[in-house]
Amino acid sequence: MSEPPRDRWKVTAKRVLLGEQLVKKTTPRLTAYYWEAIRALREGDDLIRFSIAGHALRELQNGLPHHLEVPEERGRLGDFFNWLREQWRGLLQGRPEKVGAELWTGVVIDQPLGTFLGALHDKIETYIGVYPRRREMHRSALGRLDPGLSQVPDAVQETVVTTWMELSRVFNSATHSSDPDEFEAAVEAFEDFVGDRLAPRTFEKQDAIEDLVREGEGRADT
Amino acid sequence: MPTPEQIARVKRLATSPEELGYFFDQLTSPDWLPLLRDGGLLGDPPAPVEQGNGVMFPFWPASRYMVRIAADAPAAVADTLWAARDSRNPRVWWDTVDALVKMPPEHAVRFIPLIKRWVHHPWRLGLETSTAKLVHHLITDGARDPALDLARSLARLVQPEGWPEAEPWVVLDDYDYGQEIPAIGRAIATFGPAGPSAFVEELEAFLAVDRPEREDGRRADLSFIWRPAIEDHEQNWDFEREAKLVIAIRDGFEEVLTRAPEELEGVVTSLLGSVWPVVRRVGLHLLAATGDQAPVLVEHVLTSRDLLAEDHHRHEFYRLLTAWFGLLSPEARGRFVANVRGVADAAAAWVAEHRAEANPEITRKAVIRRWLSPISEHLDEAARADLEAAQAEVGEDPHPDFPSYHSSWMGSTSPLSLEELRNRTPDEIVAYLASWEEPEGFGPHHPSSEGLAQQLTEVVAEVPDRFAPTARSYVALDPAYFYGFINGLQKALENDKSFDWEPVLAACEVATGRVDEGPTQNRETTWRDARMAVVRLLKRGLEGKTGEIPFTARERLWALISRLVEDPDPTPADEARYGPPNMDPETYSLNTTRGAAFHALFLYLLWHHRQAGAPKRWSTLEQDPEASAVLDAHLDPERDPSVGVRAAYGWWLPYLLDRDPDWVRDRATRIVGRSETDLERAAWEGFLLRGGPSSAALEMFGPTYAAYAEQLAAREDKPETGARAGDPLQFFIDHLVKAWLWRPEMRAELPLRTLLASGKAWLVAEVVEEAGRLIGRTEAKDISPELAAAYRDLWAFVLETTANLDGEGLKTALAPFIWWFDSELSADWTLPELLRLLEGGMTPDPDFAVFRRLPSVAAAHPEETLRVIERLAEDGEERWTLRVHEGEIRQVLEFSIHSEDELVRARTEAVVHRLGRLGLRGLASLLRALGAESQ
Repeated sequence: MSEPPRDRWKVTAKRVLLGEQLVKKTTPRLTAYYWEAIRALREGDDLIRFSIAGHALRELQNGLPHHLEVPEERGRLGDFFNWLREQWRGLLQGRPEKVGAELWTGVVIDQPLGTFLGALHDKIETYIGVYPRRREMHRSALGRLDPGLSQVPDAVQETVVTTWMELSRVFNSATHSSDPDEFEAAVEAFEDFVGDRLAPRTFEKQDAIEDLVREGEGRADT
Repeated sequence: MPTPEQIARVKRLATSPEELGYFFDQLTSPDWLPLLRDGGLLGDPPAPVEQGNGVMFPFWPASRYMVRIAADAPAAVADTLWAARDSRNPRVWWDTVDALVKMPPEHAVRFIPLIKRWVHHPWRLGLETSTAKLVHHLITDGARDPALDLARSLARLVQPEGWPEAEPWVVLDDYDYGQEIPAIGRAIATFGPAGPSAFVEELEAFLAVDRPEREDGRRADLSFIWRPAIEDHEQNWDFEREAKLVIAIRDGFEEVLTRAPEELEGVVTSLLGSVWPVVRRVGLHLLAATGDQAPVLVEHVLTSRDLLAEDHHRHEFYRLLTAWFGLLSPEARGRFVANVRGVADAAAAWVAEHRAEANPEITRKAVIRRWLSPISEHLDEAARADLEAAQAEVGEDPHPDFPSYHSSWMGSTSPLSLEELRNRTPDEIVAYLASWEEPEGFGPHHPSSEGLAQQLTEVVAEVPDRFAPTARSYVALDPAYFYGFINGLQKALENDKSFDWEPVLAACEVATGRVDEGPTQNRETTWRDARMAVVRLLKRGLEGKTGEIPFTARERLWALISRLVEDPDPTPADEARYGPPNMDPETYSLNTTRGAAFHALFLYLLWHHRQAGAPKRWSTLEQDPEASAVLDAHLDPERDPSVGVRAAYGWWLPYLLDRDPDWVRDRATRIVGRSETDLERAAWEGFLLRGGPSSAALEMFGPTYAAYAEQLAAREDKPETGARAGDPLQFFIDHLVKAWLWRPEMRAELPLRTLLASGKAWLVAEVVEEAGRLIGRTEAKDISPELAAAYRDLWAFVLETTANLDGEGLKTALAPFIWWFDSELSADWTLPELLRLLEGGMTPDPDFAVFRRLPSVAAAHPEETLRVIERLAEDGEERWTLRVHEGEIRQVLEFSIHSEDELVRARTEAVVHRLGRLGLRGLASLLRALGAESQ
C-alpha cells in the first residue's frame, strides 16, 4: 500500500486564514480541534490518524452549537441506549435463554416485562423526534455562524444542513473504519464548507453561477 | 432547458441572499420558473425590516426575475405573484405591478383591488409611477373597467368610505399627483365622456368633504382662489392636488371633444349641471373654446342670470362673453344687458345692506363696467351711456375677469432715475428732497422716499467729495435721506474713495441728537437707523484704510462716540426679545446702536495708538482717560446690563492685551470674571473667538480658563451653538490644545486634564477632534519634529486621562482620532494606533477621512493598510459607504495583492471576496489581474 501524500495537509495561507476566521467567530479551543485534525493527517501514524482527525473534527462540529448558544437537543441517543441496557440486564435475570434467533417465544408477559415494554414504547415515541431536532440544532448553529444562511429559502438551508451532517457522518465513522479517499475528500470539503460560511469566495461563486446559468439556458458561450 | 440537476447545484452554490440574488439576476429564460418553484428556490418574499426609527424593504430576487420574464410567461408569473400577494414588502408590490404592465390585461384584473390598497399605503415607495403605467397599459389594451377603476383610485383625494380601519390610506403626494393624473386624464378620454367624468366624481367627492352646503342650498368651492383660471394662466399657482385634478378633467374633456366634437353640448350641459362651481367652470371653459359649434347653447348660457351672477364663474364667463357675444341674437343681447343691470342692482343692494362703509353706487357701476366693457361695440345707445358713466366714475379695471388678482414686486421705486439724480448738483438734490412729497398709496411702481434714498446712496458713493460739504443739509430732511447719504459715504470708503470728514462729523453730531417723534412702527427708516448708519461709517473710518478719519478730528470724533455709547438701544426689553439666545452676543452687539458704538470706541483706541506711531508701551489710562472712564463705567451691570455691549469688550480684548496688558489685567476680573454670569460669559466667549492662547492671556485669564473647563466638564451634553458663527467650545479647546503643544512648560497648569478626565465621552471627542483638525490643517513642511513629538505626547496624555471611560463611551471619545490619522503626522505611529482602535471595536468617524489618507500610506505599509480594510469590511453588511470608497480601497489592495508574502496575498484575496459580497464588484478585476500574473 502506497503512502498517502502528506503534502496535501501542509499549512497553507488558505488554512491559516481559515484558522483566523475560526478564532474570530468561534473559540481558540474549537479552532485547536481543526489544527489538530490537520496536524494528525499530516504527521500522525497511519493506524490512527484518520480516527484522531475524525474525532477532532467531530468535536468541532458538535462544539459549534454550544459555543453559538444554540439550545441543546434533549434526549441524546446515548442516554437512550444507557437506559435500555440497564433495564434490559435487569429483565434478563431469571428468564429463559435465547433459543436460536428467538427470545421468550410463548412466554407470558409478566408485570416487569409489561412495564418495560410500556416505557420502551414511550421512549421510542420520544426519541423519534431526536434526529430532526439534531438537524434543527445544526441548522440553527450554521445560521448563527453565517447569518445570511437563515435568509435564504428553506430548500437551500436544507441542502446546506444535509451536507454538514453528511460530513459529520464521515467523521463519526472514521473512528471505526474509513475509506481514506472518502475521508480526506470530506476534510477538504469541510474546509471549503466552513470557509464558505466564514469568508465566502464571492467572485469565484459568481463565476460558477454564471456558468451554471449559461449551461441551463443553453447559451452559445457555454 | 434548465434541469433539476442544475437546480440542485444552485442549492449548493448559492447559499447566501447575495449569491441567490446574483443567480436570479443572471436569469433571462422563463424556463427556470417551474423548476425554481418546485425546487423551493423562490422562497417567500422578505418581510420589511424595522430598524431604529426606520424600515428597510429588502429586494426579492425572484420577483425581479419575474418582471423580466413576465411578457414570455405571463400566466405562470401572474400565478406566482398572486401566491405572494399578502406580502407587506412594497418592493414586491412594485415588482408585481411592473410585471403586470408587461402582461395581457386579463392577468391584471384580479390584482386591481390589491393595487388600490398598495398605492395608498404609506410604504408605497414610488408605486404611483408603476401603477400609472399599468393604467396606461390597460387603457391601451382597451380594458375599460379595470383601467377606470385603477385611474379613479390613483386620482382619489379622500379616503374611500368603509375603508378598513387597520389599513392606512394616504393620498398621492403633490409631485406624483401632478405628474401622473393629468396624463391619465388625457388618456382615459379614449373611453369617451365616461373617462373624465370618473375624475369629476372624484373631485366632487373631495369637495363634498369640507365644503358643506350653504344656507341657500348652493355650494361654494372657492376655486377662483385655488384655480383662478381653468385654462393655463400665470394666475394659476397649482399648489393643490385638486387644481391638478381640474387640469386632468379639463384635458380629458378637451381630448374627448377633439375625438368627438359632436359630444360638446352633452358634455357642457352635464358639467353645468354640477352643484360645484369649479365643474361648471370647466363646462364654460370648453364652451368658450368652441362656442361656434353650439350657438344655441352659448346663447342659453350667456343669457342665464344665475351663471352671470355667480362670482366663481367670472373668469370663464368673461372669456365666453368676449369670444361669442357676437353670435347672440339682438333679443338675446338685450336680455344679457338687462341681466347685467339686474345683477348690478342686486350687488348694490347687498352692499347697502351689509357694508355701511361702502358706496352701493360704486359697486353698481363696477359691475356695469365689468360686463359691458368687453362688448361695448355691440351696445345700444342707452347701454353705452351706462357704461361710459360707470367708467367715468370708477375708472378702468386692468383685470375685470378675476374676482381676485395677485401680483408681487421687490424693492422700492424712486421718483427720479439714477441718471436724473446724477444730472443735478448736490444743492439741487437737497432742494428736491426737501420739496418732494411721497404720494399716498403703495404698489410695485409707487415712488417712495426709501426708493429715492437708495438712488441717493449710489450718487453719493460715486463722488463723495462733492457731497460731503452738503452733509449738514441732510440733518433737516427725512431720516431716510440722511440714512441714504451716510450709506453713500460708507460705500465710497469701501471703494477706497475719500472725502472731507469735518462737515460730515459735524452733521453726524447734530443728527445723533435727533429723536423720532410719534410711533415708528410703520416707518421704513428712522433716526435710530440713521444713528446706526453713523456708527458703521465711523467704524469704517477708524480702520486704518483709505479715507481714514484724520487725527485732527479727534475731539469732534470723541464727542460723537461718547454720545453714541450712551444710546438707549438696546433697551433691556429689546435685548430680552431679540438678543441672545435668539442671536449670539457678538452679532447682537453689531446690530444695536450702543453695542456697535462700543466697537467704534475700541477702534478709536487702536486708531489713536496707530496715529501716535504705535509705540510698544502704551497706557490707555494716560492717553485716553475719558474713554477708559467710559469703559469702566459700563462694566457696572447696573449701568449697562447689555450682554451685546459686554461681548464687544471680549471681541477687542486680544487687541488691548497686545497694546496695554496692564489695563486689561486691572479689569480682567470685572470683564470676564469666571465666566459665570451672562455678562462675563459674553465677554469671555467673545475673547475665545477672537483671541489666542498667548502667555499673557493664559496668565491673566488662568482662573477663567479653569472655571470654564469645570463648567464644560459638568455638562452631560454639548452646549447648543444654534446659528452662531463660531463655536466657543471649539475655540476654547483650540486655545488649550495649542497651549499644550506650544508651551510645554505650562502643561501642568492647563485645564486640558479637566476636560479629558471629565468622564464625558462627548467632551473628550471634541478635544480629540479639535486637536486632529488642527494638525490636519497643518502642512507637512510645518510639522517640526518637536510638534510631531508633542502630538504623540498629547495622544499618550489623552489615553492616560481617559482611563475612566470604557465601552461605548471610550469608542465615542476616541473615534475622532481619524482626524489625526488623516494628517501629515507619521503613519508609522498613527496607522498602528488606528488599527488598535479599530480592533478595539471603534467605528471611524468620519470614515471618509480613513479612505482619504489610507492610499497614500499603503505603499509603505501594505499589511497594516490591508488590516484596516479587513476591519472595515468586517463591520457588516450595512457599511454601504465602502462602496463610495471603492477607488481608494482598490488603491490600497493593489499593494497588498502583489505582496511577496503568500499570507498577505491570500488575505487580500479573501477581503476582495468579502467586499464583493458587500457590493464592490469592480474589485473582481484585482483577482483577475493576479490570476493573469500567476499564469
